[in-house]
Amino acid sequence: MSTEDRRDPLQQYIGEVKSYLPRKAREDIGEELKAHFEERIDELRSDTGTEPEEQDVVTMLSQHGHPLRVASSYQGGKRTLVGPDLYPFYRSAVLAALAISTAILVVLIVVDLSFGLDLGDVSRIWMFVNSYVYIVGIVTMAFVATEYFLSKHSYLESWSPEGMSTPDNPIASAWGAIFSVFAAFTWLIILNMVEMEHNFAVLMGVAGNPFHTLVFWMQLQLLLLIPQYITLIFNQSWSYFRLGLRTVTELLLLSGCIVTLTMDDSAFRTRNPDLPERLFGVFDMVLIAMIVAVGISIAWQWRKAWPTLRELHGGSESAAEADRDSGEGDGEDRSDEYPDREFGADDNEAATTDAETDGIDKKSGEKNSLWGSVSKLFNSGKDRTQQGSDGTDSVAGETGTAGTANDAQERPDSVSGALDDDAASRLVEAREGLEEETDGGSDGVAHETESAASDPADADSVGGDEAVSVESMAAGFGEGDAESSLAEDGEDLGGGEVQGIAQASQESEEGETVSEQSGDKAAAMPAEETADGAKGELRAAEFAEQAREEAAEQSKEEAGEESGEGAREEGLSGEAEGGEVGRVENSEGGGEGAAGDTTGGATGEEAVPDSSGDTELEDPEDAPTEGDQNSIQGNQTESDPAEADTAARAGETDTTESEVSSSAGDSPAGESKGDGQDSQSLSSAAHGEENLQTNGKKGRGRSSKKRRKKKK
Amino acid sequence: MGERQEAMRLELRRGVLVLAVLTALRSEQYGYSLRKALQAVGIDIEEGTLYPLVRRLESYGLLASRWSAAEGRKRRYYQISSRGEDALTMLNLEWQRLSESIHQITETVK
Repeated sequence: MSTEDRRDPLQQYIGEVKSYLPRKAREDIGEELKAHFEERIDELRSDTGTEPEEQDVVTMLSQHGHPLRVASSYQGGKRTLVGPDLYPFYRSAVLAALAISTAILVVLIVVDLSFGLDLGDVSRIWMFVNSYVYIVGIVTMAFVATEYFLSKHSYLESWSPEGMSTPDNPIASAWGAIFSVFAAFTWLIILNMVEMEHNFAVLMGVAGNPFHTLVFWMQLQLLLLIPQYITLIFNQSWSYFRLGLRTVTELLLLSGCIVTLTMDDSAFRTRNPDLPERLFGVFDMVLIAMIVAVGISIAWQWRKAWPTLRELHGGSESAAEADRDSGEGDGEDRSDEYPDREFGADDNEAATTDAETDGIDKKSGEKNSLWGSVSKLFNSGKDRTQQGSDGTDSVAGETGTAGTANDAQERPDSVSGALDDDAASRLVEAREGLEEETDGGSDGVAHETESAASDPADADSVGGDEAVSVESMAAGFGEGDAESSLAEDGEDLGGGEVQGIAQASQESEEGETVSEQSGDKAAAMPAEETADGAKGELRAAEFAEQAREEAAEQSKEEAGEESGEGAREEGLSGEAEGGEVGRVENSEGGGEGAAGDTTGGATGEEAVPDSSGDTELEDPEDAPTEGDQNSIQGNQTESDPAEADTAARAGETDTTESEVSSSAGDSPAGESKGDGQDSQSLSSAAHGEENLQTNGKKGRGRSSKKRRKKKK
Repeated sequence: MGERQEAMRLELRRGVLVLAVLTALRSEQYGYSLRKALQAVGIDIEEGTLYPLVRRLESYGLLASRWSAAEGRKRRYYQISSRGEDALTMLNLEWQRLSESIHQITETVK
């Protein structure tokens, strides 16, 4: 640049801009800028008609902007060390660290001035500058590294709401965690400025310098504490591990205080006679205050964390217990999932899953709601049964909860007219057996149908076809049984199937008995079968075999003693009503029957299989498949004799249990099958299921109506 | 117009500057003439913004440039590249969509 150029404001300006530019692009941009300004000068010349003066050029350049800014605008790429995402945290972290370090240093200086201490060769101002440089540098490096890490792994781009952590009772906010990290860092940096040895003698107070001993313990505590704070930034949830580690960390400082307080510092005092005695007095008071503060801190943490952890842990135990009781389909011991689980980010996902499968909302704090739901179901089952016994408000199928094993045990007076203790206990066993056999895959369905079975009123929460089918199936069973009226046993079992009873009364004086029993069964069984039809049928098959044997014995004993005329009539009528219609409808209920057989066989309550289904059986081997499909899908629209057979088998099983019986030992249905030993149970089955199926739709309709009424 | 409103206006315009520049450079222009061309259609863009923008687009491969001496003066000419044409097509579509959307929402609110 010539001397003339130096005087030329344009050349000076361009030279200034170029000096801020990278060498590579310097000349090119300079040339372009020069060309641009020459164009502008030409424009000025043409506008005014005169040669522009230097002042005009200066004005033009001033409008163009400061050379630094112009040069900066040409430089692309990342232009910040800490980006806008992290900058608010960076700023607060720097401010927090500086504020804390200032406060600490001020305290140290006050102590220094008060006690005439020699802080070494570190002047007070230098202490400030030194600590600030350290702190700002470390904070900046930490944020730059964080920014680089986040950018490299696209952390802020590849996130998912599922991984979000919003614990109900957080340890701290993320902002607070960041503050804590840098506060702890600051404190550690300042402590590291103390010139001291780090050895076991100092740590245990043998070296005699109480200040160094305390500082050593504090450094150890901070080294343990800072990683905890860092993890706290990303996850603020309590866990047993975190609580334990935090307690250990606090105890570390507590130990340091106690060691320092109890150590023998006489030698140190002797070596430092200049130190005033009251300094040690104040130091001891500070140590005592620290011990108290640490104790309070530990207590506070436990007080804050323990309810959450207990709730979480207790919830998991309850859930696991409820799982065991309810026989949900995953077959996993979920209690193992919770103890080490943190109630936060990961738990949201887990909670969501649990909520989906269990129908509970962990986020709303109802972590024990599964067990609560089970209890509620039992209670509601009792209420409904009582209602039903009053004859005021019950449709056969809606007495659903009566079908649960536990409830059966709890309501001996209502059901155990036919369901004796043995039956109740078998009911429990069967239920447990069903749980064991139920595996994953249909987990969600198992849950849903389980609750539906236990409480039809909750079926809505399950939603969809399962809920409807469960209730309608239950209704079908109830009314079918009522109409079948096989039983001659006149015991009032206290069931709630008003309609079933009413219909049964028209056809049989003892219809109530079976109606109620079967109503109970019907409520519980189909639902469970819906949960896992295949398993249920397998189970049913086992019980069916067992039932055959028992039924054979009973039928031999009872067949000749009790007349069974009524049942026979019903059986005949059932068959008469059956026919094609009965067959279709029976098959329609095949899935239900299959469903029923699972629980029915299991519970030992059921006594109403369908003989027509049995007699129509063409290919029993197909039964599980069909039954499975229907029951799982909750679809009872297809006619399948095999399913009916499954139902019949279940009925056989149940007959032995409930003794519905009474009397139908010589049922034509049983004879038609040519299975004399099953005559009693088969006859029951004939009327029960056949009529049940015949009236299945009707039952559903009534059930639905009734239910709508209830809802209203 | 307050500062904030001015900032919002500039932010809105900044978003469409690339579209305007690419469109204008379908015919070859040098920096000063480009600015004048944009100014002529109502897009007044600061020099300190335009030149860096053009160079950035060139570095992206959306523009091609060459130095040429004309009228006794050395100038750097820019013109859209094939890659720039693709980008321009995409931006045009997006612009039309946005315009249509704004129109619709404006009509809806009316």
